[in-house]
Amino acid sequence: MWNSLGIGLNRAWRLFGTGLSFAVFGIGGLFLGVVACMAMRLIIHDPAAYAQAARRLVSRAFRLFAAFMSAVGVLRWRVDGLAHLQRDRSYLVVANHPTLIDIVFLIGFFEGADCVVKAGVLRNPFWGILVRAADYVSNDNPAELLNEAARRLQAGRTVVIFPEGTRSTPGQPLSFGSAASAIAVRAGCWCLPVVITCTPPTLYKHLAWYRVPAVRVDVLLRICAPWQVAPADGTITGQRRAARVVTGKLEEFYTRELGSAASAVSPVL
Amino acid sequence: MTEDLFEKVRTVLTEEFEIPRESIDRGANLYQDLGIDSIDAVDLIVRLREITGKQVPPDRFKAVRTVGDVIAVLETL
Repeated sequence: MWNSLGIGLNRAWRLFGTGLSFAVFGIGGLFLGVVACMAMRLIIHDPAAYAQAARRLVSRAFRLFAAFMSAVGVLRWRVDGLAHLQRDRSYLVVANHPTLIDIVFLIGFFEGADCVVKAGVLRNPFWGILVRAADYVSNDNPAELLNEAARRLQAGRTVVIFPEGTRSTPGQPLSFGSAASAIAVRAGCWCLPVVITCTPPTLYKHLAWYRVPAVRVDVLLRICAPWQVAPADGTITGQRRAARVVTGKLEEFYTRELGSAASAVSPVL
Repeated sequence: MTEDLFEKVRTVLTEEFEIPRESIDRGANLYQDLGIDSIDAVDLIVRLREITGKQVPPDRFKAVRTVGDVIAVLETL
């Protein structure tokens, strides 16, 4: 009996911790947006340097937030495969997208990285100010998305994108859109796959945030071997052909890597 | 002229997007019936410019739903 009471208390604490984390995340984003952006505006006048400072700030804030969630006991997170990374190389970082908070770990890890954001995030009441200051690539206008992301990669910046476009639907086969591969073949860049797993599942699509799992969550980011995508010729036909190859390769890779994990995502509550 | 444009659009959709020729008629919805996504649409606009010499403004393409709409926009340019 004491044992089950302990489990119940532990879960209640993590439910509280999860709610607290959401609150801290929202308020923290708003605070940084208002105070830090204003301070940076005063000190940094060059628009590019300002955006870069904002991106670094987001990375640090996300790392701090991840550390907060660890300290509260909601989750632990770990990054594997560091040996695959080469300093002073920029990557198109692609990742599967199981949970609501994947981006926190990715941007937290890839310091100052660019990323592709949904247009809605730019209008988010809590993080909108800082996200707009960071000058991330919006997916609002597809033509601009491709050109901007490719331009930044060619300028030596790292760009994070979820090829699925949105969180994975548990139990469904992975479905990769064409944006990530279209960017890769336009830029001719290193493509770095990251495999994200979350056990037990939490914050999945269609899974309410307050359904906290029975035990603390382990988030693992596994960095895998990058490969170099050759730039396609300038023709649409050439680009589409090359992009199809990249999309196929990504789908095959992730389906293989997540094969067992993907079939085991039915939430255990 | 309209027939000519229709054939050109049809050829682009068949060759670049691997859509079966017989499924393409004027009423076909690009997104729902033919499986074009927003990235494909970017490529489609570029290919249409290359073939017809007409530049479809992206904001006008936003209102386009069917193959017939594509032709209607091209005709006005």
